[in-house]
Amino acid sequence: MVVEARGLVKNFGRVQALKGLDLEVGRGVFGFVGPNGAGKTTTVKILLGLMRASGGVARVFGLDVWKESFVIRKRTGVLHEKPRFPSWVTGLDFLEYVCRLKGLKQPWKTALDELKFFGLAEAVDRRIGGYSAGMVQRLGLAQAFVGNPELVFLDEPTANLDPLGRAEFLEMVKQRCRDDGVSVMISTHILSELERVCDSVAILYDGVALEQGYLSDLVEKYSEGVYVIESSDNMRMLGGLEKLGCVERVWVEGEMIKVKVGDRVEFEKGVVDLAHDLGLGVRRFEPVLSSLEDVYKKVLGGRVVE
Amino acid sequence: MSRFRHLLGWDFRNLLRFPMLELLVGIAVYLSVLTGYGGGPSESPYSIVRHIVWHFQSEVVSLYVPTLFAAVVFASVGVAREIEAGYVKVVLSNPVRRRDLFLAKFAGCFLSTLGILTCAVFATMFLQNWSVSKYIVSFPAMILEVFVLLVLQTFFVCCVATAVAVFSKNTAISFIGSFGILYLPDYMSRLAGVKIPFVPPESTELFSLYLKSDLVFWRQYDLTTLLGATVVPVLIAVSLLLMAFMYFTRRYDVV
Repeated sequence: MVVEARGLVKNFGRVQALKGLDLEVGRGVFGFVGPNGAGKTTTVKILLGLMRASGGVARVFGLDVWKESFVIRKRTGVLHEKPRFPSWVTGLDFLEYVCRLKGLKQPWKTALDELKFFGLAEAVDRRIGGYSAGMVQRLGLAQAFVGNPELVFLDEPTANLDPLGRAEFLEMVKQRCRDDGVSVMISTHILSELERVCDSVAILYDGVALEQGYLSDLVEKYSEGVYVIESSDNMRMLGGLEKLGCVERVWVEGEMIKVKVGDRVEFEKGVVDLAHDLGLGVRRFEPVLSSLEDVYKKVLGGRVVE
Repeated sequence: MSRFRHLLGWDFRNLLRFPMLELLVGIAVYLSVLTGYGGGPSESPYSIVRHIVWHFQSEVVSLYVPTLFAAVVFASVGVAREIEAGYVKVVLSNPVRRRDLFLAKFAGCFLSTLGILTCAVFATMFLQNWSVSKYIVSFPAMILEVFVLLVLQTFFVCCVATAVAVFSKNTAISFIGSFGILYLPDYMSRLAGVKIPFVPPESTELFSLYLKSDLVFWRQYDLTTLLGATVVPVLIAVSLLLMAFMYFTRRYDVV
């Protein structure tokens, strides 16, 4: 595990931002979703040692997040929500400063290469005060990934990017994960984008994790048990399906039959036997999976109206 | 150590990017310390320099306001504003120890303030006494006395300003609060005709009188008063700075 948290609690006066959060983050891309005020940003700050937890235990790379936060921050990078950088220096100067703080060799060259990777080659000598919001976000990504950290925290990383920029950003993240083996923890509201990159997800609400796990497992768990079937003779297949005990409803959509079932294991076995008995070929037989957004809505239930 | 050096260098770069501020402080110093001394026909160089240095020792007291102005601005801009704007969050997200950042912030404020004042005071000393300036450099020990007074006064002011900046985490509150804490007690005490001997500028005046120990004035003051003029302000300043340090390194939640 890259990140582990058990019973994490954080109080801000009378407000309890985290109420016993349990979290396990493995290697790869981890999505962190939840409504505003769920505790995502607070969790990230505790993991980085920027805040001290009021209770519970949290470890990153097996190290205590408060006592050994200096060591943890040598191996991590972070892009905070709505990043703020000094406006009176150039992007290159600032990133070179970050490289020096990280103890990187050839800080100037490293900074320049990183800025070029994130599409800021034309603006290296321009003051940050003259950057657009998207450029500031790219600079933030550059300072998060510079030095090839093992784990990067991205808090609302696509907030100021246009749709093309967001797509490009996702590709960059996937590329860095693939090429450099960087693990990423992304906190975002844009679930459709998260779905494209993340391997596992945690859904937070009111300071606790309601659900977490591999994305594929969660999607399957929260799918509504609907299957799509396409066979060599749909009418005969339709007749056979209606007689199966585990089938709740059957209907036809175009060239396909859709079936809502109760017991999926029994149904999958039943379809195989049915096709064999009827002598039918099956061209398509797969579950209709929920999207991450569907999972998110089901997990939260009626808790939040956004 | 190298990270501390980088942090301090970055801080200097941030603080000294306002040339108008340096110019204003320099002009304030020059106008506060007006003296031109040519020396009498039979006066020895030692005597001439002694007169000039005594005057500047006394005038360090009147430099209290330019000193606190510079320190309050540097602490508000270099510490409170950086916390308020979120720059400290960005720095602390890197492998930087909180103690290094705090000490770099304080050192930046102290060294910047002291640097500007020292340059202004000694430039004034030479420019206003140009005809005898060649003698001044021959007696570095006497010049050092002026420097020691500047250091003590600046250290006190910077400690208070930095502590207020760290606790307030707001530029406006830091500026107004520091100014109020450092200036109002002295102003009110002068209005009331009362002296507060254990903090600048009164403590600076007492110590400057002690340094003129070959004059008769020093016999009016005993060792206790001397200690009160030197040790107590340093203890007060260090205590405040230590409280701010403990808060910043152990309690402060970076939001």
